[in-house]
Amino acid sequence: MEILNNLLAGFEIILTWKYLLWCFIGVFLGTLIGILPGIGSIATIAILLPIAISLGDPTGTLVMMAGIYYGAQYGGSTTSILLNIPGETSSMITAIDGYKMSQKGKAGSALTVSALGSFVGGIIGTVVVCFLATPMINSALLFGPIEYTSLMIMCLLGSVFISRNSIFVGLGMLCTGMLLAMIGADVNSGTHRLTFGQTFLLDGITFAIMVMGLFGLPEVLHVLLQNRNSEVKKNKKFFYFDTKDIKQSIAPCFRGTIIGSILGVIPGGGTWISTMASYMIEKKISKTPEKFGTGMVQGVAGPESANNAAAQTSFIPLLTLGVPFQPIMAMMLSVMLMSDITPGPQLITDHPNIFWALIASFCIGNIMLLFLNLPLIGLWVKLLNIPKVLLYSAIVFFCILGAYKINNNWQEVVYILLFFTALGYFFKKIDCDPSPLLLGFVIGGYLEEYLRRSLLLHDGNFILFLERPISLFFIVISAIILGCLIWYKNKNIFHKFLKE
Amino acid sequence: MRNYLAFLSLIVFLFLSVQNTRATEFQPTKKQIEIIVPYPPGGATDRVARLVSEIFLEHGWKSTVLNQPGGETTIASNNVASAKPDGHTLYIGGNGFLDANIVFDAPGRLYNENSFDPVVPLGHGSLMLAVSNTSTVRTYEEFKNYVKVNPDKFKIGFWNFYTAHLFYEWARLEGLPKPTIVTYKGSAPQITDILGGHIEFIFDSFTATNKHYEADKLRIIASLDSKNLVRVQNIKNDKKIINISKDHPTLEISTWYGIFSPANTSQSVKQEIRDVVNAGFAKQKNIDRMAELGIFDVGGSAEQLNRTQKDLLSFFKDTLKNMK
Amino acid sequence: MSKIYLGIFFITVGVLFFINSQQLNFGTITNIGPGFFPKIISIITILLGLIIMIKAIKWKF
Repeated sequence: MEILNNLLAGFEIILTWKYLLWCFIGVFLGTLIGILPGIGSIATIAILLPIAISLGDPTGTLVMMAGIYYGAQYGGSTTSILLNIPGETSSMITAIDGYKMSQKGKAGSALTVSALGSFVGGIIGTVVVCFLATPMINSALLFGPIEYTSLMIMCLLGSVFISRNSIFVGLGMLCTGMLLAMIGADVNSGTHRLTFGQTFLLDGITFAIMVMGLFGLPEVLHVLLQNRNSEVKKNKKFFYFDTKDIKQSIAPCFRGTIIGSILGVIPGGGTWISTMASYMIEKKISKTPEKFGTGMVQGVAGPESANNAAAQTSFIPLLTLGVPFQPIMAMMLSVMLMSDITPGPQLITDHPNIFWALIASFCIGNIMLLFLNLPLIGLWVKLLNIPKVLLYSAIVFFCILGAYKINNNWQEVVYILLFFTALGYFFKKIDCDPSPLLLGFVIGGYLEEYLRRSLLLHDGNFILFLERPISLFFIVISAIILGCLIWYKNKNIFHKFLKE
Repeated sequence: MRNYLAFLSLIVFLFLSVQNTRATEFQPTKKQIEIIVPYPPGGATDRVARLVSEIFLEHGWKSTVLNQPGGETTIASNNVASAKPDGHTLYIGGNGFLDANIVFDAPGRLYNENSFDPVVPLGHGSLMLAVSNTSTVRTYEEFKNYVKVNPDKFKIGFWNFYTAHLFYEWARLEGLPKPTIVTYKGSAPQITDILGGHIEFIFDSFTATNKHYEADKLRIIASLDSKNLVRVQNIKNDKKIINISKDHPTLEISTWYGIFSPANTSQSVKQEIRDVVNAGFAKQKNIDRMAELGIFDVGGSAEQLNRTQKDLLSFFKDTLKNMK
Repeated sequence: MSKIYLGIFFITVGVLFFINSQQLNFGTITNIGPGFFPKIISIITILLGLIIMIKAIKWKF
């Protein structure tokens, strides 16, 4: 088949010392910054951009930057699992069950499952890019504001399932998140909303800083203020893997890969939403949903596969349409333009070398990452032996530096990071799970934007939400979820009634 | 307690090590020039800034690009306006920050028209009126008739709320009903929507639209200014694409870019920077790179940049008057 | 007890956002204004906070 021929040609280009080196540097750097909380892939790529471009090899630059991006998805789970501090925003979910596994002495197993899951997600995601790029992007274009609105409604209802809190608390967090999303300039009218008169809030709250504050730093405070030693049980022999865990991870891994592959393509989708969706679905499907949050390996395998699959498929819109759906893709776009490659619908035909070499590099990169991550697990677990003060100071330093580097804005760091760290610590103390807040922030923000745009474009025609097939599908599922929620609530009332 | 102190002192030490002190002279070979971009990485302005940075680097100067997005350019503009005028902080400005934001009173603004000195212009790009494939409209004439008959279908997508006021002026001059502006966060989402047929009309840059037009995924029916008219007509040899500003010269507005410095930067510093940039953009490879971005006529004098920006400022002031 | 803190938190957030969105307009159905969502969601938040607090207080007695 033609595709296989092209793919082979791509491998031919990549399997030279020069490009293998570019690829290796990329994935190695990616793993490193993934592990370091705070510094994210986009900041690193922005810093390296001028150096890379001056070396004059666009293929190499793209291969390296892609490596940094999907490599970070591998590395992010390491600190999540070992220290309960997410290295990347998308590893936030892995921390929930991954850290609990570490606390039970199964750190090695969690890390193995995470690395293997990431590998499967990455490879299958690459296969999807290879063969399904065009049909997927055509389907993605069918999604307009109306379809997105319905999708967001469905996600919003579904996200009540993800929290470990009671329904009312979960809803409250969701609403708080939605309110936080409304801070900043209003898209449709330009007015500044809810900025409390502060300039740094003009563009809203930066998501990554909020995650760092709600999840990363409170953990640091918690450990230091309790003056407790690291809660991860240090096992004399680190099992690299536990066959039972691996068996249980296979299905979630494939489910996560499918979810990630699909969600990576839609605008505003990407790695974070994929991990959330995967976790939600694993929890729903599981026979023991209440055990999620106590160290279920499915809660690690699914999300990790999802975020790597999403990292690969998020290249599709850029490579097939020339439209960047995520800030990182916009950086790749600028690299291409600086190197006289115009991305667009004809990239595959005009520059087949770049396209197929990039895809081949995804394969090679994922294989390199597997070898980087698996054998080094023993090394990563040794991280726990570093004196607390050093380790956590370094983490705080990188978080603060990373928070600054996002928008080069000190006020954001001081006010926003500090505020959310305090808030996150408060939530930790009262044992409340803040994940619905983040979900409300992301989904609520999109929901408002898309709903308003839908009504603006179609003159307030609500019926269209039920007329258009994709939208109808999501609305029906939302109704089913709502029905389930009400039934569960009433079931409790029913039982209480019976007991009295 | 010892943990606390050790921890705190480590943090303070690490912090201090990343600060750098500022000198007051222009020493680009020793201290880097920060080029501030008011948008996130990846956009057109960002790419222009990186090209300028490359030019500086090739000349032996130290330089870096800092992205400070937020508040429709207000955050970055505030920062540059309050920076030291020693030539080490430069701003890549364009439409919006010194014209639309001022006239339409963008909140949070700590600067005014006199807070910046123009240094060197970085060219012009064009805005194109694009139509989705699902629409029945094929030419500009058809478009005008269509929206006059169906004013509720007169919805145009654009990515900057304040600058979009220029389209109200356009509609007024052409005798069209008042358009509904649908704002998007940047060019990418609106391109996706128009490719999917979810919105009928958008205004976007030549760069964002020409490849899709070439691939028949959307139609370009008009250009706002004259600069890229011939280029876009030659894509499909379609002479029916017209230049809107031909009949309305005040609409000869393109997306312009330029390097600005904080007010009161010394003339000699500005001249030095201007010479390096102009020399850089005299090189064919850099001209070609900008052409790929759809930006032409790069380089020139500070007075040119000043005039471009002031013209747009008075245009928006007139628009505001006409809207009342 | 922690639920009571949460209730207070939600009520505070709701009230804060509601007050700050007073000057934003509601808009119409075709053109929903910037004030629509903040006002509605902040009221819902206040209600949820009240429900949580009441349930927690009932629990204690």
